[in-house]
Amino acid sequence: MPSEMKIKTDVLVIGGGMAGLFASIKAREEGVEVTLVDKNYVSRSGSTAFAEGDYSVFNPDWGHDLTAWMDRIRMVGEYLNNPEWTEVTLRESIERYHDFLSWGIKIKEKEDGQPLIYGRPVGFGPLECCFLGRGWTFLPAMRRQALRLGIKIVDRVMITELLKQDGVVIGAIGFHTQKGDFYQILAKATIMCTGNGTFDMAGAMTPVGFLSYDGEAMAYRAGAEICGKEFSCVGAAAFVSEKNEETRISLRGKTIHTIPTKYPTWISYGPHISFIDSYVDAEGYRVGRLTAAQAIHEGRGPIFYNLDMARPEDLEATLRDIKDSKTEFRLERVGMDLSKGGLYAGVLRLESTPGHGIFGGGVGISSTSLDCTTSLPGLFAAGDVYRSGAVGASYPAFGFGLRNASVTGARAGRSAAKYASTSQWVEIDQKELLKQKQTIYAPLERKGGFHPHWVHQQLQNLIIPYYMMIIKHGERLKAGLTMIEFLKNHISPKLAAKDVHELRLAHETRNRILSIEMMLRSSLFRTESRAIHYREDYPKRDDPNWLALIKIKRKEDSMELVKEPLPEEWWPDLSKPYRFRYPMRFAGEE
Amino acid sequence: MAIERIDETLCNGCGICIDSCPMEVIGMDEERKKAIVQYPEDCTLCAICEIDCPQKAIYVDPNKWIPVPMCWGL
Repeated sequence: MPSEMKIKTDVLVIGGGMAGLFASIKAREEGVEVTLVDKNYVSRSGSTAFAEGDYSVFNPDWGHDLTAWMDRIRMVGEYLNNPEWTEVTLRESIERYHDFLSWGIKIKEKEDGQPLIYGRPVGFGPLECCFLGRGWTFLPAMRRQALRLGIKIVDRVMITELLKQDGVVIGAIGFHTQKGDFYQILAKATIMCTGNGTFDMAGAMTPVGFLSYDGEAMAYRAGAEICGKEFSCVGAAAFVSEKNEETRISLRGKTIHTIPTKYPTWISYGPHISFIDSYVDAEGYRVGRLTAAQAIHEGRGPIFYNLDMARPEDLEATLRDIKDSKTEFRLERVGMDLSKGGLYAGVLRLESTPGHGIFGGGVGISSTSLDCTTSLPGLFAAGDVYRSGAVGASYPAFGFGLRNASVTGARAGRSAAKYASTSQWVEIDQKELLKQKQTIYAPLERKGGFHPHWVHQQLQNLIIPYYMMIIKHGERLKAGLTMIEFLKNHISPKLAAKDVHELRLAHETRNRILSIEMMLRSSLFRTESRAIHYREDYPKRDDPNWLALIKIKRKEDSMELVKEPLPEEWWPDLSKPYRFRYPMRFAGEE
Repeated sequence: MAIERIDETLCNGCGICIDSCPMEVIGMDEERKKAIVQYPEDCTLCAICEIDCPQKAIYVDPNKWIPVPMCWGL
């Protein structure tokens, strides 16, 4: 058996991206002992490590108007946001901005030395951001700050379950993903900062194949409420270029190249240019990002990027970012030269990775207060794993993910520190601990069974095709649920691992299965369309019936879904016409 | 094929790439003190290892073909 490590700490932070680092630092500043655990290496982990670097700051001194920002966020999120949380994340962003400066993180400046403030996509509403640089360039400064303050960082430990006694979260358990050691961590307060999830092995937009909904899954198993899962996934296009040619398709007189789209052999590599709203279908008609899936559905795929149609200012912003992050080599290697424009083949696919899902507080463990509490005493949460409701059912603009993670992280850190100062360590029952430990290592003990790679592939094939989670239909969602129940009940308990690396993959796979079940159930439950949740069989918003959230909770071995209406004061003005309330058009809407 | 090579003549065994990799693709050959590719199939093409390597010893290929796994493993 692997050796046992036992840690006692005031505050345990699980996950070391933007939210986890802020939570750790702010908790430590309150004077409590903090342990930060990450399944990778803090500063090279979390979607933050691969963030573009846009950081949304609301600052009246830069001419920002609170009402204009709030209205925009509500409209884009189609009124499912929590305006109190939205306002908090806006107002406190300037404090977090100053934190970055105090830790020596450089904000990109204009020639006159003033910070560069811009909207991205360009001209898309009043929402603006600044530029922190690629995640991997500024995270080391945050890690250094955490170490300087005396925060204990434990890298390469994957937390698999929360520990609970008498309904209260008292810490967590997990294992070292390289050495295999068992970790038991007792904490007076625990903060979940594990981010989002993805089904992609090799992601184009944000290569975060290691994100696997761990925190959400653990919290669910421990009995926490999960919210917003019907908004988990959204279509995005992975694009490739000429050197990846397998198939040539002639389009509008130009020869371009695409790749076979058979799963799971897609190839993806490159920068992030999806905000350039310049898709064209196979017949050469321009389609918006939101209707690209519909074009495919109608047989007008594949979908291509046409950079010739991109606005020069968007292209310029992209080229600037690539230059700033010194990643030109990635483009050169696939034979892309964005400055020359032209057509690039894309494969419309589903992706729930940060960058395209509604990260920034739209999906995850349900918030119960502005103090980052959850429905479980002792458990706090922040960042993408936390459904604060700072954004609604769609992602408002660039920079909202990092901003939300920093503000909720800081708040969670302070609240957890306060909570920890009034609570005690609770020793876990040894019999229960042994049982949990056996569950963790069970995949290693099996002589045979199912390999995580193979199961992951089944999940990709189930959830990634556009007709499951981009263009939804009740019948298909039910079919998906039948399969996911089989995978959960029959395959998941037989996952096998040869070594501790595969043990990690097995646990990630198990968590992904649970997350898909939540997505499918919520999507089936919401009998309307709203923002990025589009149901072919219910193609319109249904006000006020669905001005409501769906909350998921574990009831023994089944999922219980509850509809929770929003307060009337958060509703849109129902006396205004539908078209006015919802400027974003679904397929078939005028 | 994702992370394609770590040039042994350039690698000084500093181990930075091992910390950098979010998927544990890279490990250390303890005897020879050289970084090695241990789980190439899990490479997510993020290229952080290549960006971080002070010796410029790593090359990440932009293409990745995932072999069809058998249910009991690759």
